[in-house]
Amino acid sequence: MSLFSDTVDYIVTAANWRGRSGIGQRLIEHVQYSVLTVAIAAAIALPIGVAIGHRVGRRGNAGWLGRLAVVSSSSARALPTFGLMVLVIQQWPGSVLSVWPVVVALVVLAVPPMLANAVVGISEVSPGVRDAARGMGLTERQVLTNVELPLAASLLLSGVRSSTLQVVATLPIAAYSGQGTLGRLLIDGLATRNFAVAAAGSVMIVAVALACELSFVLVGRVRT
Amino acid sequence: VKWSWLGDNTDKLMRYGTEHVRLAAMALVIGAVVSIPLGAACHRQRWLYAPVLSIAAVLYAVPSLALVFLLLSWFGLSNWVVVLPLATYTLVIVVRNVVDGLGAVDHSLVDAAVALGYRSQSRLWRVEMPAASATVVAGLRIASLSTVSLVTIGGLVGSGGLGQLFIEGSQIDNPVEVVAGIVLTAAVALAFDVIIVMAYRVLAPWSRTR
Repeated sequence: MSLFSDTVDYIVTAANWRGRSGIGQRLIEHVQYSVLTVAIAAAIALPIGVAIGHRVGRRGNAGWLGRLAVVSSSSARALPTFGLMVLVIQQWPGSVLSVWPVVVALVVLAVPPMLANAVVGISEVSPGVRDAARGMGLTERQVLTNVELPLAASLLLSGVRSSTLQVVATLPIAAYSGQGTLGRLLIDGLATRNFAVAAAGSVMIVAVALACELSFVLVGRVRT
Repeated sequence: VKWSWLGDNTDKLMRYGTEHVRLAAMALVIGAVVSIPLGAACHRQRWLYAPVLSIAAVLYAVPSLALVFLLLSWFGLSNWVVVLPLATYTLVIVVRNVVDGLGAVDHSLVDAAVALGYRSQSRLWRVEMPAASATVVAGLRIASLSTVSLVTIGGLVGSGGLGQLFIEGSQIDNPVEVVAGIVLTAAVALAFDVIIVMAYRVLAPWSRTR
């Protein structure tokens, strides 16, 4: 049997999906942790990005605090997620064997695309539209929620999409910190030299990433 | 925290750093060298456009980490296990920017080149590509940033590079080694970015005036 057909066999064998360390459980963990991470990162990035974008649209600049946020977020892209995760485990006693180190490291990865897109999306709303809204008597808050946010929605969504994709793609490193996720198959398959298992894990991760991308495309279609 | 570890291990830091630079540079150069003619071909041959860009969109969603493990499982450990997925990643980002950049070139510029007697090929390489180069370089910078960071994943499969410092640092519980790995990776990313920008300024002197 070739390694290729072994990989396919491993995935299509129902027994490998069942149980506490089956593919099914790993898949659920993968989705759960991804959702958790993206939710936390969005809760940080979107309000800050929208606030900065609104200020840029209103006054023409982000202010020193806004600039600091934008610069530090874009510099954070250069930090390797794997290294951050290991560092969090070492510096935060008690976090070992919990999912938090990988979540913290992935939040750092997921914030920059969402923040950047929120800033650009809100600030690039045409000044004419914004002024017309004010002229009609909308308060500053209404301008934001009724005019700027709907117009920026597709850019906000594409920020969430690239963050989610990166989180799903990088989450397998969680397995190195002893967590579940589909990365478990990669790390364990490699450690036990059971290469069909590692390859099966890789194929599953690719499938999850493509499914995730596809669902964002569909959400985008429905919305417009 | 023993900072003296750094001074005692400069050899190791240099070795992993050099490996890291080599792996990232190989991926970027291969990705860029393939994507520029491919993007140009997509711009010229309309029938190539849709299939190539669709494949690129799908490949963009395929996690490099998964490809690294897949190649390792099927073909065994070599530099290509890390270089090939990252070169693919660079390719799919840059090819899109080449196509977009060429598509956005001012039509009057192309007409002027035709009037001056440029033939198809020389017009592409001497007029259109230089005009599109800012977009191409922007894509290359994004790809470079991610690639340098992603090479650390190679540490998980023992392919060398600065990711090795994270593995060793966590095994012997040495935070200094991990911090050194993070800082050096960020420094390599910054250095690559500076080199790309500087090279662009030298090769495209007109970009400085903007």
